[in-house]
Amino acid sequence: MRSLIVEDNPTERRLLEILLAPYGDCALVANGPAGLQAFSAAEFLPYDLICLDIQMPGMDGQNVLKAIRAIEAGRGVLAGHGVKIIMTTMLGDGSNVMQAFREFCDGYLVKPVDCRKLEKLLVELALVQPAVAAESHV
Amino acid sequence: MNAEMTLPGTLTGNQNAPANEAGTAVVNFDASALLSRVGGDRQSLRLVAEMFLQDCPRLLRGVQAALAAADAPGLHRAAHALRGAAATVGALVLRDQANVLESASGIPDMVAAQHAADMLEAQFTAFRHAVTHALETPL
Repeated sequence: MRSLIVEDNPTERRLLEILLAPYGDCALVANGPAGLQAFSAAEFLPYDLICLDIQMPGMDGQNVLKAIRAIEAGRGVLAGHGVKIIMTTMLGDGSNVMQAFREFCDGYLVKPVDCRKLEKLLVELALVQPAVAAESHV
Repeated sequence: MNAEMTLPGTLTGNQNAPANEAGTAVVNFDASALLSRVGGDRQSLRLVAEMFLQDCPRLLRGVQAALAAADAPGLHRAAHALRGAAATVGALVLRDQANVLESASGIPDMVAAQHAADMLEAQFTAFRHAVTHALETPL
């Protein structure tokens, strides 16, 4: 699995990197425009998963999500067949989560991210097999 | 004893923790929660904690800069970032204080915000000591 983490907070970025490391390659960027650029540049070796922080200065996660889905539509990718995008957010951010689902995110995680909740979501999104998830964090 | 403080076989980082007004121990570093978050891997705990120790001074400078500029929206963003990072690493006192700061800046009540911000540096120092102690304590 190839993952891209778009997160401006270094501590949260490091945690996600550690949690995703057992599943494959993981790229890290610290802001929305860099996330969009990384996604665009990976057209021929696309990411399987993008973890996208909602609240970032400048271009926030909502706008990155919208832009990624627009690029996919332009490439002829049907809705529901694009890269899996998990929004990460803090508690009390329900309206942002609803907005993200309207823009076709695939799931969300409340920060701080926990390895078990992440694994459960990866399995639900069919990104990893349950057996692999069980072995990743014993 | 607070369940967050001592879990058999895990780090606590709360030895000699001061008591608050209610008489319960103040938990500077919830090592058990962080350890659980990373699947029980002590090295991962260390990496996340070290990243926070490295980055927190920048976050605190952001708070001070926003206060100095009387920039309430900027202060709100800085407090939000600090709260998120502190929650991730299990810095409970810092997280709660950042939450107070975030609320005050959202009103905005800059006097209350300044009061909340005044305590952050000392709380970060206490957290750093708790982490250092926890990382030096064998399982």
